[in-house]
Amino acid sequence: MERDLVERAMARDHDAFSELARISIRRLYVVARLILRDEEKAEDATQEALVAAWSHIAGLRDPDRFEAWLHRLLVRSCYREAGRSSRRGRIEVHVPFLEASEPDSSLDLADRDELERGFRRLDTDQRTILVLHYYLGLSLDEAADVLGIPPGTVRSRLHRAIVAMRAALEADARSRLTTEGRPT
Amino acid sequence: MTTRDDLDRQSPQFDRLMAAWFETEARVHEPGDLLDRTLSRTASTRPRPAWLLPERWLPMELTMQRVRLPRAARYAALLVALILLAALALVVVGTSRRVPAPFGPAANGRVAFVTRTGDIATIDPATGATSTIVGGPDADRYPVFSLDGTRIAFVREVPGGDAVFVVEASGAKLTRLTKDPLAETGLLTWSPDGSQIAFHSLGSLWIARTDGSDAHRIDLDFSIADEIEFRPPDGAELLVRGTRRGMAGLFLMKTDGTDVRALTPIDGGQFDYLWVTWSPDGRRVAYHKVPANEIHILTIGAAEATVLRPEGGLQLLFPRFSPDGTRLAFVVWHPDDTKQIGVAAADDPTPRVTLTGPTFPSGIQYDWSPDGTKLLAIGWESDVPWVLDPAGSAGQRSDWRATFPDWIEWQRLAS
Repeated sequence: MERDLVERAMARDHDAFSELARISIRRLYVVARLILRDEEKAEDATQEALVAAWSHIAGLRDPDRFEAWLHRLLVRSCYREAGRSSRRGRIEVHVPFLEASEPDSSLDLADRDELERGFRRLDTDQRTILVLHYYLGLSLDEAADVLGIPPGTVRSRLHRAIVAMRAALEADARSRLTTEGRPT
Repeated sequence: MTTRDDLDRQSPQFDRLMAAWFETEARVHEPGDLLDRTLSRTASTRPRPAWLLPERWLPMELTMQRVRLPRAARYAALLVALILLAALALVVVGTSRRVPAPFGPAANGRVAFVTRTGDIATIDPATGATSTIVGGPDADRYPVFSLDGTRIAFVREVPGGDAVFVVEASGAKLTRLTKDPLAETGLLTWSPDGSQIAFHSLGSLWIARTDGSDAHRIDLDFSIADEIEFRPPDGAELLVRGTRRGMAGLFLMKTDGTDVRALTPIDGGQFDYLWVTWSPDGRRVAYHKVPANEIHILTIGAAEATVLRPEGGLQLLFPRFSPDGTRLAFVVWHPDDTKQIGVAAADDPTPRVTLTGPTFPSGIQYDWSPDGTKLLAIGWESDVPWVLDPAGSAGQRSDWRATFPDWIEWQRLAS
C-alpha cells in the first residue's frame, strides 16, 4: 500500500482515499465473501469497512499499518453482517464470476462442494480465522492484531476451527452415505 | 473422497487443501458498482477529527498526583454573585415556562442523531421511536440541543461551505444564523440562556445570536481548536482550547473575547486538553491529557489540578461530569485494547473506579442521561446502544439502533 496515499488520505484527501479504496476493494470483498458466504452481505461489509476507514482515517497511528487496520475494520463489519438475519425473502442462485484460469487440478468439484458444506457449518469466528490464516496468509500474531485478541487465543481458535471443519466434513460424509444408501 | 483423507493426514496437507480451496473461491470480482457506491458515501462523509479517535492516543498507571498550574484569578465573590443571579433567573423562568435549568439534573428527553442520509432526527431511547426533525436533500450534521431542550442547532453544508442553523425541537421554525458560507465549522455550543451559539470556523471563534440577527468572528491571538464551552452557571465566560505557536492550552475569556487568561500551561500537543467538561456549578473543569492518557480535574483559581492516573496499564479518556457534578464518567482503556465506561466520585481524593457495562472493541461514544441515573454508550462502528448503570452492572442492550458519528446529544426536559 502506498504510504503517500495513506498519508494524504489521513489529511482528508478524498482522492487519495478513493485510490486506496480502488486498490483494496476486491481483496476486501473477496475476504468478506469467504467469511460470510453471502454476496449481498459481503458487499455491505465491504462498503461499511471502507466508510468506517474514511471516517476514522485520522485515527490511524501508523500509515504503514493501513492494510492491517483495514482488515480489522472489515472483520468487524463481517461480524455485524453475520449477526443480521437475511434481508432477502427470495431464493438466489449464486453464479460467481470466475476469472479465466487454468483448470484447478488440486480440487475437483466434489471436493469443493464438500468443503463448501463443511465450511458453512462453522461459526463466524471459525470461518474468519481460517480465512485470515489460509487465504490472507496472516501469521498468528498478525491475525491477533486484526482480530484484536491475544495470539494465544488465535492459536486456540484456529485449532478449534480446524477440528470443527474436520467434524463438519465427517458429518457431511456420513449424511451423504446415509442418503446414498437409501432405497429409491 | 480425497478431502477427509487429506484432513486425516498431516496438518501441512490440510493447510494446502484450505489454501487451494480459498484460492479457487476467491476468483470473483466485486460487483462493478460497489466502488462507486462506496465512494459516493465517503464523499458525503466527513472524517472524524483525530482528537475524537482514541486509536490515535498513545498507551501508559490509579494514583493521584498534583501538578502545578499557573496562577489564575480568584472568582469566588463573582461566582457567588453569579449563582445568586442564576437562582433568580431560575425563579423567573420557572414561573413562566416549564423548561429545565441550564445546568444540573433534568428529566430525560430524546436523543438527537444524524441519519445516513444527512437528516437530523431524534429517538426516544426508552422506546426506540424516531422522528425526523430536519429532512430533505441537505447534508446536516452536529445536532446540539439547547440547554432547555427546546431547540436544536446544527451545521448544514451550503454552496461554498457551511452554515449554522437553529430549529425548534419539533422541527418548526428553521433559522439560518450565519449568512456567508463558512469552512471547517463545528463545536456548536449553546449559551445557558439560549440566546447565543459559539462555534469555530477555520480556527476562529464565532458567536451567533440564535434569533439570526448577528453572527460575528472574535479575533484572538491564538487559534481555537476542538473545545468551546460556556462556563456555568451563567455563561458569562467561555472556555476554549487554543493553540499558540503549535502548543495547546485552555483559555478562559469573556464572551466578547476580552479578559483572556490562560487556565493551564500552554504546553499541550495535538491530543492534550481535550473533552473539556464543566462541573455544573462552574467551579471545576476536567479534561484529558496525553501521553499518559490521564484525566485532570482543575478547580478554577486553584494552583494545582488533580490527576486521575490509573495503575495496572489502564488509561483514562473522555471525562464527563454527571449532571449533579458529584461523579465523573470516563472511558477506561484496558491493556487488551478494549474500552469500557468507568465512573468515580468527583470529590473523593482517593477515588475508586466503578467499571460498568460491556467492554467495547473500539472507541465508545457515551454521555450521562440528563437525570444522571444512567449512561448511554455505543461502540464505534456499532449501531447498538447500551444503557449503563453508573453504579456498575452488565448493562442493558437497547432494542433500537442508531449511529452517533460525533457525540451523543441528549435532550434535557423539565422534571
